[in-house]
Amino acid sequence: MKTVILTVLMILISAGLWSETADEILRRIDDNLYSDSQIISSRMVIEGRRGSREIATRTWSHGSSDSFTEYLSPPREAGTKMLKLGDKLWIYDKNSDRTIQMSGHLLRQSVNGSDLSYEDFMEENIYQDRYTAVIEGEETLLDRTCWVLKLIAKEAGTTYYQRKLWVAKDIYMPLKEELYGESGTLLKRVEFSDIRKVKDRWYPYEIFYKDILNTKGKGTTLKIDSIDLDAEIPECVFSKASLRK
Amino acid sequence: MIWKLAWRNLLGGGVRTWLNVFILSLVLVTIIGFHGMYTGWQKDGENGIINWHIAAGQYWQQDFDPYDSFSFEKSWQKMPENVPDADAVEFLVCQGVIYPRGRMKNITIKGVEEEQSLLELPTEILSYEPDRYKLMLGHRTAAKLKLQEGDRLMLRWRDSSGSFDATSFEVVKIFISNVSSIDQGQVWLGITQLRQMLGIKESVNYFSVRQQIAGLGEQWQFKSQDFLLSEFRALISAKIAGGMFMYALLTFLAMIAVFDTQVLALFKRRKEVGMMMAIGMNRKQIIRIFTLEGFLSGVLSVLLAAVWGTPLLLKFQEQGLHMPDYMDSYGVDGIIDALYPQYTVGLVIFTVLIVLLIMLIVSYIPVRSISQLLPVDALLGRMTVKVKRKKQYS
Repeated sequence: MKTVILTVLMILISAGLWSETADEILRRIDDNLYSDSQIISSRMVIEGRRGSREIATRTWSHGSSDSFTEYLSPPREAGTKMLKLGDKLWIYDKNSDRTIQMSGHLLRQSVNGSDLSYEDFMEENIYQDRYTAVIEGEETLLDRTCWVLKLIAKEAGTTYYQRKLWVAKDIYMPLKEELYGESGTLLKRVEFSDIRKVKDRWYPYEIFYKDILNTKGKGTTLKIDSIDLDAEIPECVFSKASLRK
Repeated sequence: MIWKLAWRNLLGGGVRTWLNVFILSLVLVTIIGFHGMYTGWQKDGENGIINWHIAAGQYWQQDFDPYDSFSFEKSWQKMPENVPDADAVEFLVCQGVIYPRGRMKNITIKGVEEEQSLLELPTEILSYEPDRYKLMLGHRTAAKLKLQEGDRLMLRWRDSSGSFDATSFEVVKIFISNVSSIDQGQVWLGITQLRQMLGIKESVNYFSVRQQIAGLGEQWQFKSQDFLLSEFRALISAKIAGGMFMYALLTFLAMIAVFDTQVLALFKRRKEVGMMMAIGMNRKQIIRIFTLEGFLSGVLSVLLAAVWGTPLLLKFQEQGLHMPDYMDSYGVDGIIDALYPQYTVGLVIFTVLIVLLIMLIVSYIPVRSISQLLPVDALLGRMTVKVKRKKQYS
């Protein structure tokens, strides 16, 4: 009888430890990826059936809710601006000199034909606030030992109900992520690479997105040219007035 | 006597008369044929819309606007309780994305009550089966997406709280309907299935009813058949207005032919006119004879049109006017592959009367100059009129 009780206790303790560890991993990932503010210059490479296209942007972010993006190239897109404030998104088109608020079905459209939808942009990106994690096991990926984490949304309304993360043990950085719907259907796959040390944290300089349902597309790669973490950004950047500047 | 004389003169015209009569009959048959086509299109379209979608009318949730996808989610509301099940068909609408052959396409997802007998939509096939995701498409959408019954289609949606989900659906039915507004850009699911996917219970955006129901409150606005058909009727009216130009052109050409014939007849038969005057006929009687000749040619054309036009138009009605394949994709209600004309008695009578009236006027105008003709000049074959003669004497 003692043996049974001890075994049960051991299982409960170990399960508790695992759970605590999984939450700790999520916290460490957020510490790496999330900063109070950041300015990123990046290029989005969209692989289509007729070759690839590259769009250069500069993004100012404040927390996980506010961001301002300006398209720098190609010339046709240059000057287009995108402002996200909480759950609202506006796009300024310089050709028509008009600002459009994106909502409803417009948010489901892909961004410039990429594998990302505007809804993906709208997503809050702090894992530990939104998900409960469980360690499912360990795997080796890109020569690094990784935890395989299964994330389940804490609340209804989270864009992706389930996620699966492959997190490098040594740097607490996800190397691969799979996004699932509530029914368990795999919707998107994200791969993180070219991980570099920025200040006191690790950051991926290349992120590959693939919309699994869109089998015709070949994926979209976000290449970061420069990143300034915890940069000081004036509040006026995150206002509708800055769209027309 | 005048009738007899006019009839005899008309038949005496020979080929010229029959040519005119044939042209007139051609105009008559063309106008009736074309107008019948529009009438048939309108009736088929209206019957289709009523039988497949709107029944005796619809109740829309007050915020629902079928042309504004932003309104779909905010107009989900619980079905009113005092609506008898047998008298209404429930509809739930949301936006989604489909991936036909791996491509991404925005689409409207419509959930429809599975067990209903009010509409012709084959909804029974969408009856809820756990773990079987069933979907129905109109034949236009199916053709566009190159889908067939039995194929599978990936559908992605967001539930009522905003989470993405997707699953593979089986195309269980491709229905053929002449109502494009229930076909293009949309897929049909059982309402039970859709409610489960969205995580909402008993909600609808609108419902079609067997008859108007009192006391549903301000949140449900009744849309009558007239309101729901108004757009389609406006389209047909615009088409008819366009057709009117062609009718006017054809009638004008026929008028020219008759007018010309009358002028020529008057010139060739000026001695005859003089003779009539000499034997004591007054000018009014002579004008009446010539006008009657024109009018009778109209009557003859109606008879001729009846002889050759009736079997032709009936055959046309039976077989329909087959449309090219691309017409189906234009998304016009009332047409599947052919247009089936419908001729009403009113349409035929109206067209005949219009043609006869025009013939009467066109026959009268050129022969008015007879009233100014001098009998002696007429007998001598001259077309001198009174006014000129008076000037000559003075």
